[in-house]
Amino acid sequence: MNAVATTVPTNNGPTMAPRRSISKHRTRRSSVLFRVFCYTVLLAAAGFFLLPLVWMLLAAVKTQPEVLAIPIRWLPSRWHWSNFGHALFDERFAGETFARFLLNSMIVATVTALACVLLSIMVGYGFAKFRFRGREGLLWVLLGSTLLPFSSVVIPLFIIVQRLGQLDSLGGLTLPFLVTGQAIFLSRQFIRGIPDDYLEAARIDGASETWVFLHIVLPLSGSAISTVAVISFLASWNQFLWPLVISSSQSNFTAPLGLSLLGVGSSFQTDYQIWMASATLAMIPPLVFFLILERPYLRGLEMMSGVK
Amino acid sequence: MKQRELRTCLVFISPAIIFFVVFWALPVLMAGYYSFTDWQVGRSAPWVGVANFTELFGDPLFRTAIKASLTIAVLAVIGGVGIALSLALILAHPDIRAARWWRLAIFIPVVTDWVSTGLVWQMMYLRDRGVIAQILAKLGFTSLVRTEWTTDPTLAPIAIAIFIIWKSTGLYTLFFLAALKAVPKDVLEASTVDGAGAWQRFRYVRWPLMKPITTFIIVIAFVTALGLYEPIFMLTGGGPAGKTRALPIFLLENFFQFERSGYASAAGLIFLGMSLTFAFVASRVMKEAVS
Repeated sequence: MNAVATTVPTNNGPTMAPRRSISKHRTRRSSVLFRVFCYTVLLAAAGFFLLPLVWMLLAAVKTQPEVLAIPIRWLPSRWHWSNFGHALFDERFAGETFARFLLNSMIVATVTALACVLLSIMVGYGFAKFRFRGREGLLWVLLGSTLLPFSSVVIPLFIIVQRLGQLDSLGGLTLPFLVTGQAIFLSRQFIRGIPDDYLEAARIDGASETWVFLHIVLPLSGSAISTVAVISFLASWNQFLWPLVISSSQSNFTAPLGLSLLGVGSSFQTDYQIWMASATLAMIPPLVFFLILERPYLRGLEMMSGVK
Repeated sequence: MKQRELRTCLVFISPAIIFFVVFWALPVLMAGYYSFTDWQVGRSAPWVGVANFTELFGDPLFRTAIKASLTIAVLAVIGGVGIALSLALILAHPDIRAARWWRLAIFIPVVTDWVSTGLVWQMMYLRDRGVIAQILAKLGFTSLVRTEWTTDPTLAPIAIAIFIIWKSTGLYTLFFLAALKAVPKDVLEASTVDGAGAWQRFRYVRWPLMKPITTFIIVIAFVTALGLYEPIFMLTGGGPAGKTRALPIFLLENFFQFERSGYASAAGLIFLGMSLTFAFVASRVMKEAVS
C-alpha cells in the first residue's frame, strides 16, 4: 500500500490565535501616511479597472448623442432601459438578432463546460490514482499545452475541423475545447487529495470500478467540478478567434463574434448606446457565473499557479 | 489485479487523451509538417524543405510582425506584472481593510470578454469625444484632447498594451497574493522584530520565496500577450504603418487572404518555438537565480 495522503494538511487552527495578536500590534505601528498612500493607490487602481465598465453601463441607457457628448456626461438625462430590448431583438445582423448570438454562446459554453467537467474528472482520476508508464511525461505535455499560443495552431485545427465536416456549426465551435490541459491538470490536483483508503476499502468490499468512480470519486470531487466548470465556461465564452475563423453564417455566430461586427469603422449605424447595451448583455452570463462560483474559481486559478 | 487496474485506468483516461491528441497534439504536428511544404488549402502539399523559413527571415513583413508582437508583449508584461506586484503587496498588508473587495474590483475585467471590452475601449480612445480625451479636458490638459491614441504609430502599441494590462492584471494580482499569503507569517514577524524595514523584508524574506511564482507569471503574461489577436483586432486592426501588425495577424492574413498555408504554418511554428523557448529560458534563469 502506498503512503497515506501526499498533501500536507494546512490546518493550523490552534496556532492561529497568537499570530493574530501579533498582527494587531502591527496595526498600531504602520503610520497614517503609509495607509493614506496605500488607499490612494488602491482607489486609483479600482478607478482604472472599473471606470470603463461603469461608463459602459451608463452609456447603455443613454440616447445616442449623450454617449459621446462634449463635455463628457456621466449620467443619462433619462434612463432608456428599452435600449436593452433593441440590442437584443432588433434584427440588425442580416436578419439575425443579438439574442440569437447570446443563445449560441450559452449553448456552446454550457456544452463545453459539461464535457470538460466529465472528461477531465475521469482522466484526472486516472492520473491521480493509477500508476502507469509515461504518466509524468504525459502530465508535462498536458501542462506544456497550456502555454501553446492558440493562434499558432489555429490553421491545422481549421483543417481538422473541416475534415470532420464541422466548419460553420456550433459543434465545430465546441469540439476543440471539450478538454484542455488546464482542466485535466486541475482535476488531477484536486483528486490527488482524496485518500486512497476510501477507494481501497470499497474495492475490498467488492465494488466495481464504475461504482467506485460514481459513488466515491465524483461526490468527493465537488470543488474540482465547480472549478473546471467555471474556468471552461469562461474560456469558451471568451473565444473569439476560433468562431471568427470557422463561422460564416450569422445564425452560427457567438456573442463576441456578433459584437465584433459593430464598432468604430464598421459599416453599421453608429448606435453607440446599442453597442454598449449589447456589450453589457454579453458580459452578464460570465459575470454571473463567476460571482456564483467565485471561490472555487479563484482557488482553481491559484492552484494553476502552483502555490497550493 | 494488475491487468484489471490497467484496463480501468485506460477506460478513464482514453476519452480525454483521444480528444487531446486530435485537437491539440495533432495540430502541432501538422503545423510542423506543413511548414516544410508549399501547401495551399485544397491542393497537395509539395515538399520544399526549409524554403519557407529562409523566405520568412528575409520577409520584411515578418520582421515587422515580430517587432510589433515583442513591443506589445514587453510593454504589457512590464506594466501588468509591475502593477500586479505592487497591488498584491498593498493588499497583503494586514492593515488594509476590505482587501477582498479591492481584489474583486481589480479582478472583474478578467472575466469579461475581449470583444465587449474592446468596444468600450474604442470609445475610451476616441479622439476629441472619447472618454479619456474628455477626462483629460476636465483635468485641464486641453492640448492632449486631440491625441490619436490608436492611430499614432508610437502610441498605438502602448494603447493596446494598456488594454491588455487592464484586462489581465487582476489575474496576476491574484497569483501574487496567493504567493504572498504562502510566505510564513512568523518568518516575516521575526525579521520585523530583528529590525528589518519594509524594503528589507521584501528584498530578503519575501522576494526569494516569490521568485518561482514571478517566473510563472512573467512566462504566462508574455506568452499570452504574444499570442493575442483580439485586442489588436478591436483597436487598430494592425495599423498604423504595421506598428501593431503582430504575429497572429501576419499568420491569419497569409492563410486566409494570401492563401499561403505552408508559409503561414512555418510562421506559426516559429511563433510556437519562440513561446516555448521563452518559457524554458525564463524558468532556467529563475531557477539558477534561486539556487
